[in-house]
Amino acid sequence: MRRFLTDVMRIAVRSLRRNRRRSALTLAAVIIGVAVVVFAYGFGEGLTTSLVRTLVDARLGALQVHAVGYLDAVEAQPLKKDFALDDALLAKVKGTPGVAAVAPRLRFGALLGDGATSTIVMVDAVDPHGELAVCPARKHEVPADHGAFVDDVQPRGGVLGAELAAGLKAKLGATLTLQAAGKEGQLNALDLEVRGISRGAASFLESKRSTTVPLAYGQELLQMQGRATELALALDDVGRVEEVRAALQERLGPGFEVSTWAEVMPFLRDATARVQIILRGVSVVLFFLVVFGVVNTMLMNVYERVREIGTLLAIGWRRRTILALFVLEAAVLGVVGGAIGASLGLLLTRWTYQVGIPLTPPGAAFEQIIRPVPDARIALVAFVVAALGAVIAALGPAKRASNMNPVEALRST
Amino acid sequence: MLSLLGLAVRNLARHRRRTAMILAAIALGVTAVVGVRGFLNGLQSTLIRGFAEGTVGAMQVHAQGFLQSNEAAPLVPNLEVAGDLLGRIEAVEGVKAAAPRITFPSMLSIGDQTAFVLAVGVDPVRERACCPRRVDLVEQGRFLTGTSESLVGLEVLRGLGGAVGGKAALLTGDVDGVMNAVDTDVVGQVAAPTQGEKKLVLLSLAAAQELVRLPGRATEIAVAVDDLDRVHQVADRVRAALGPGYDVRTWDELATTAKDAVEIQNRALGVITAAFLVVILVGVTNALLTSVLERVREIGTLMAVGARRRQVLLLFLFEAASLGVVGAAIGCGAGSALVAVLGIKGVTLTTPGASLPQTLYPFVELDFLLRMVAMSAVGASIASLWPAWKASRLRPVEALAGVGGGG
Amino acid sequence: MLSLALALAVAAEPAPDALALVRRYDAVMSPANFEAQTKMVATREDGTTRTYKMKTQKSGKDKLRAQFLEPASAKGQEMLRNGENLWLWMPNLKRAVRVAARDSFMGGDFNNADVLRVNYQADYHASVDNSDPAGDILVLKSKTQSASYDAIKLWMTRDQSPQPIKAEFYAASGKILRRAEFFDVKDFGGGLVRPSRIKMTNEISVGRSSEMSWEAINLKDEIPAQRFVIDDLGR
Repeated sequence: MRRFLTDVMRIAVRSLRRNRRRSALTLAAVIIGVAVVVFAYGFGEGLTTSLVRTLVDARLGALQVHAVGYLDAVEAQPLKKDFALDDALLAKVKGTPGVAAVAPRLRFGALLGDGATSTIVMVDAVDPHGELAVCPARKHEVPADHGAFVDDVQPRGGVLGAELAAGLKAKLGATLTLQAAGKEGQLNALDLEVRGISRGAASFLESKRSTTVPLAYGQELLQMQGRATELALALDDVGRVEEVRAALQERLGPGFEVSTWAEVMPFLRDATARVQIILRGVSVVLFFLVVFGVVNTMLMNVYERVREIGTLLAIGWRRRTILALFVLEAAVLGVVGGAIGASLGLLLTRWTYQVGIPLTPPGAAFEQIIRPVPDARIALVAFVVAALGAVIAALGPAKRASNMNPVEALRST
Repeated sequence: MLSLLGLAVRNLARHRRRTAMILAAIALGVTAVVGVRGFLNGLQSTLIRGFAEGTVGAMQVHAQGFLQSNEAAPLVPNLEVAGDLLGRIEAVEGVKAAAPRITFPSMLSIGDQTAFVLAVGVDPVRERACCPRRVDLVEQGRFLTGTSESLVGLEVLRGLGGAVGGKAALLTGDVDGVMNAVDTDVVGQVAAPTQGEKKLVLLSLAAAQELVRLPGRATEIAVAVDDLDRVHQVADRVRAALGPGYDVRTWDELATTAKDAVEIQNRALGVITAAFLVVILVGVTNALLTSVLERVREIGTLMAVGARRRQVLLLFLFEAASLGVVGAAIGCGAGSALVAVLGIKGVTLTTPGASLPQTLYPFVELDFLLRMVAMSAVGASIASLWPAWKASRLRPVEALAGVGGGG
Repeated sequence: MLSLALALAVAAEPAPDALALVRRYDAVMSPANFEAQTKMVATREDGTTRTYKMKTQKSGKDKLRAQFLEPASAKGQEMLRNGENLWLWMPNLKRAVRVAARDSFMGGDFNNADVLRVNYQADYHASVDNSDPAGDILVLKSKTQSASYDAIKLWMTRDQSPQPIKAEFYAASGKILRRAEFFDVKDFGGGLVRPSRIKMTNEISVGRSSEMSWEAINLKDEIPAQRFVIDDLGR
């Protein structure tokens, strides 16, 4: 049997080489089909991820740490559940495996005014280095000609949202006054220099009246030196968020609560899940389409060579041999085409991952760049299905062809 | 020309199997694209309607200057709604209903617990007509009917230890800044699908007007339209009808993030559709090339009887275009049928642990289907360009001898 | 050397004791138990004003009750502060509502009334600067968390019964948050002689000010504790 197969294989390869054009066409069809499926799946995953990353990288962080009870009390008394921001705590958090960066924050309500008018604002006091490490998207929050994000070089410099700045008629470089009450109600006020004006509210996450200031500034204003209300964390792998959360919670003990972004913003998790379901469905449909295409191509391949089959039968070839020939030809095309296609697809996905596919609508407040996720498993599945599909597709018509009456076969066009 | 087209169609009919296969490939691809578009339409429609028929309304009317105010939820400048303003808005062509509201920050007190909320006073009858989704969001109890009733969100209710059927007092500064309070019966509990709605409390407009001492007035008017696709034209008409002093904004100006999300989805779909089309095109090109190779003798015959190269080229183009049109037509038909069935039944997406299951109603629009047919015809024609060119380049003598084709 | 210093000290006017000044201020501006008729005129940034008339009762250090008489929209409302709890009695609710956070009145008409909360002796370190010929400056530096301001400068007349003239209220950053001026010293009876009008200005939200005037202050030996109980509100 093996001898038989190797013999036929040799003939099959020769046949494929002889009919270069047809082989090339069929191969091309398989390659492109498989490559597109691998890319499309990666694109779908990339879209889902980017929806999440937009918010995780822009504000939330993959995990958040608060003092126990903070999330319940935050509306009424945002400062009540604060915690000491000491080296021991930071070491514990940074030392947890999977944690890539830590951003301490202080969030509170305050009154921002220019002397004549004042308005209530939500203040985010952040550590410039940590914040950009955890939320790299914030680098782009302030457009180039509208100033810069908060930085240590300007300890009294803050960033205002576009609508807020417009409402107060505040320009870059202006000095405003920020007034807030500390934990015990003691009022304090500090000058605030307008260091940057950000685009409008990026999402339903932000209020239109948010102001970002350096952490030290916030601590000084509230007379809460060395304290914070929140730690936002970035992880090496967002996919392992649950694992890291459990590890971190154990390290920190019962005085703290560690929340994933999904717990802080369940609405986002639901919306993302829905989009993901739809995109996965799309990928499956595309998959079937490709398989159908491969099958179709194989079928046509066989039907086109009916006369050839007739000739072979007429000169004495066994039906078994003809069947094997066609099936093996299909197998070679399927395997080679599938392999090349899967690799090409992965390469394309990887390249677009680096480069990014911009989907930002004009005038949008934030950028949306899709980075398709290269998935070797999907590539493998695509390859296997393509190869199998090619073989199975060729079987039917090959069987029919090999069972043909040579005279009929020779006569058909 | 016409005879060529006729010949093209006859050729296709003759090579039944090949034609059927190519048609099937195109049809399947188009069906898939139509299906996906239908789904996406359903998803977007749900999202948009959530805004347009829910909290935001299709458009809103404010007093000029209101939206520029420094306060988060100001009470001035406001609108006179006791007079004919609502009537004038509803008289505009395309407007379905107008619902006045007063939105203001307030304290909600149940027992001796107090919480900060955003209160919205609504006219029960008009709000139902204008924003029916609000009514759908009532989880327990019922929507507002009377004058001293309120609807509170689950989180706030639980946090204050209250329940449907109990009482809740609203406490806030009136338009002059003097404290005032009003008691209400909590007749229902509302779901809060978005973050911003968690602290929302609905109460009757009359109670709100009494609370902030603005009798006969409102801070905004939500407007519903007959056809959401025409909302911008209707907004222009409302602006013209009301004149200066009023600020009219459509839902996409008020909820820009939703609009951006929809745009991004559309663009993403564009990429996916391109992927589908590439796959289909490759398959069609393949098939057409094979077809040319197989019909070498036929082409030779044609040329021998005087057909010019250009005519051969056109012949193949027509064949391909016809395949494209018919294949797409079949695909559109099948796709629309599928979408129609799902659209009537509705597709419910439950995500594990989600707050609310979402039901989508897929649909496709005729001009999308027509565009698909056109794209398919053009695409198939482009796919056939190379094969057709090759066919036209055959030398009659060689062609007749069967040389130049595949074995 | 020492004898020379002592001689000089004896020769100069006796410097007022800081502690005594603080006690004097506390006693005069916030007697232990009293009932009073007050009027407050609040001015907003846009120039509009609103006038409130109240009857207030105070007992001990932290029991305060105020009944609103004017404006008409506020008539019948009562405010009760008992320690850290703040309750509002609303006549049309016929019950009292506990007000949650301290900063719930941020930006409101009663924002400036912070300056009236006295108990400086408990919350501030006191020292005196008598370089200004206008009066003695009582310099107060906060020493507890519950002190509303980081520092206060209080000018008092230099005589047998010092009266407050003006005050400046500072934030921890050094910014001046409020200013107060004291006018119209009046004899209220029962030995109480003190300014009857205080003008408070907000130095951050310029344009916001309030003027408080006392029409009558009746000192009491004590006021029954049940006056400062929620159930008593509205009677």
